[in-house]
Amino acid sequence: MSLPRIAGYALAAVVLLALPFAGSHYEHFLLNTALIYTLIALSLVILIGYAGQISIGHAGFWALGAFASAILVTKTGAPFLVGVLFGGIVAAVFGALVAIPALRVQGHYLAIATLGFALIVQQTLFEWESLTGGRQGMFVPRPSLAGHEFTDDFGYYYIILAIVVPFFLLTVRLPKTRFGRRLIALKLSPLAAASFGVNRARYLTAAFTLSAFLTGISGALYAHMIGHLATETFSLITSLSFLTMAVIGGILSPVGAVLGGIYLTVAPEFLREFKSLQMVIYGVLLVLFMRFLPHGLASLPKRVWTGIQRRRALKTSSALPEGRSHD
Amino acid sequence: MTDRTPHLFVRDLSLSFAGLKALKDVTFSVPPASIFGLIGPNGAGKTTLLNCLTRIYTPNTGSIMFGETRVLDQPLHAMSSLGIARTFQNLELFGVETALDNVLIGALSNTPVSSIADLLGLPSARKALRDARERAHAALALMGIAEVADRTVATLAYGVQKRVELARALVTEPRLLLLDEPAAGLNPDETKALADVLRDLRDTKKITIILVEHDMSLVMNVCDELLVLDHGEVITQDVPAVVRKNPKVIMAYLGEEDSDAA
Repeated sequence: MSLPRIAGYALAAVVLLALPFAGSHYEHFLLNTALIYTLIALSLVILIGYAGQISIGHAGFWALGAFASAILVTKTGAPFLVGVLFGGIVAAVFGALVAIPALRVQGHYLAIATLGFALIVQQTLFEWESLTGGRQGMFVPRPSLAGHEFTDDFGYYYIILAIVVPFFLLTVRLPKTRFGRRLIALKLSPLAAASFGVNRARYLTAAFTLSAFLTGISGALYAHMIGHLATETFSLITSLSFLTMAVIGGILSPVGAVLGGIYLTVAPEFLREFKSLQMVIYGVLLVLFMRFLPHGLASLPKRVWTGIQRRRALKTSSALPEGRSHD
Repeated sequence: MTDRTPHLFVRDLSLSFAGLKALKDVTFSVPPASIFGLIGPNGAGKTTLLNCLTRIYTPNTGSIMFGETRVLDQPLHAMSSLGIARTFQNLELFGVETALDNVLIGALSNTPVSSIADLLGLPSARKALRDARERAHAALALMGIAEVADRTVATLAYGVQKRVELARALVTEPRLLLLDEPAAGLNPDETKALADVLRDLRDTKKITIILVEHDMSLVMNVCDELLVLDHGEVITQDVPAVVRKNPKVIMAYLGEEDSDAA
């Protein structure tokens, strides 16, 4: 690893560790929320950015992770971390199941299939009152580790950080791995990838499973932070806001996932005054990004840089006395 | 899997698309370590046959034996592990990636790595990937395009892209190599270099090469045997010198308004 790179990582580590010391209780809550959303955005980078598959049903995986962990911990008294892992695994199992339609249909049809999945999950959780509390919802205990309960979000931040950072690094690494290279090859040319040994069914199933696992973990972390789960949280709107977050951050980039997580946390704080207009603003933002910055905020520095370069090149060429005229 | 290249036997292959018969009872065999030309007028079924041999299409009837292996029982993604690799008529490259990364996908097809080691970046996986990258570099060098390794493949000239595709196929160390019009878009010098490469692969690596090609001088020059197709049917299989004089072959070509034999 190069020296600037090590310095960069060290700086990021210091900032991440010091961040909560600067804020209030509410800001700790926002920090945790941003990390939890980042994990979802990472899962969408893997699924949409790398594997080239669409999902507008990620609220379903999020719900499964949240309720699976909450139920296990409340009903069996399992430790918090076991609950989180269980949440990820339950979501992953359903991720593998959702991959089945993905092997047959693509594009709009897959989008509809994932949407249907999320609606079924939400409705089933709502109806299954004995397990989820149905309309009333259910209470979820605060996170605890080795007998210590984290009653505020300051300590919990470090637990979430310790879980999210490895997934971030994995997502960064993925395109350099054999698995990631072959997954991306499958997106770029399914025919060529398969001709060179990539088993499409296996790779797409793996991508959906991994993506659902991350989102399930995120759901579990969310459940223990928020303390009370209600099924209406996991609606189509939630799925769509996840998608918006991933696109606005940058669907091809793990850094974009972080920016997306921050965006989805912060935007409602600013847009709250607009009340019912909020959804319109989200929609317009999404359209604007798709049109003008399809690779999201993460691609902004490069875009600005090439823009400056181009302008500079234009200036120098027009400054030349014998420059070609445009007539 | 043995190192010896086996015989390829194709028997009674038929394929229809919506009632149109693209292949009719195609039977032929290809001896190991030979260059085998597949020729015929446009629409004769050459690419369709190639797509059957590489499991992109599934014929309605017939069998394909590569040594002891029933090729039609295998899925598309098993081709590279059977030692079957190909290039595509209209290029199937990963356009936004570099030439090296394109060839690397070929190299990774026969680089087994455990998933855990791969995802965690353990030393065994790192070494496997480094080896694969070296082989990809070597394949590009073999095709004489080592200098474009880090260029985005979509920005390269057509003839260079064709060589990247060939490098991606060769890096898998195939025993059967299927090339769909490899000389299209190449200049005479490049075509001559290609002919040398093909002969060298046959003689030193004992690879069987099946060549679909419209460039008749190349076909007549390098092929050990030719199979002539017309309207999905086999007209004849023989050495080039004999095929050239076959009246049915001449008819098939002259009967077409778009004569590629000219």
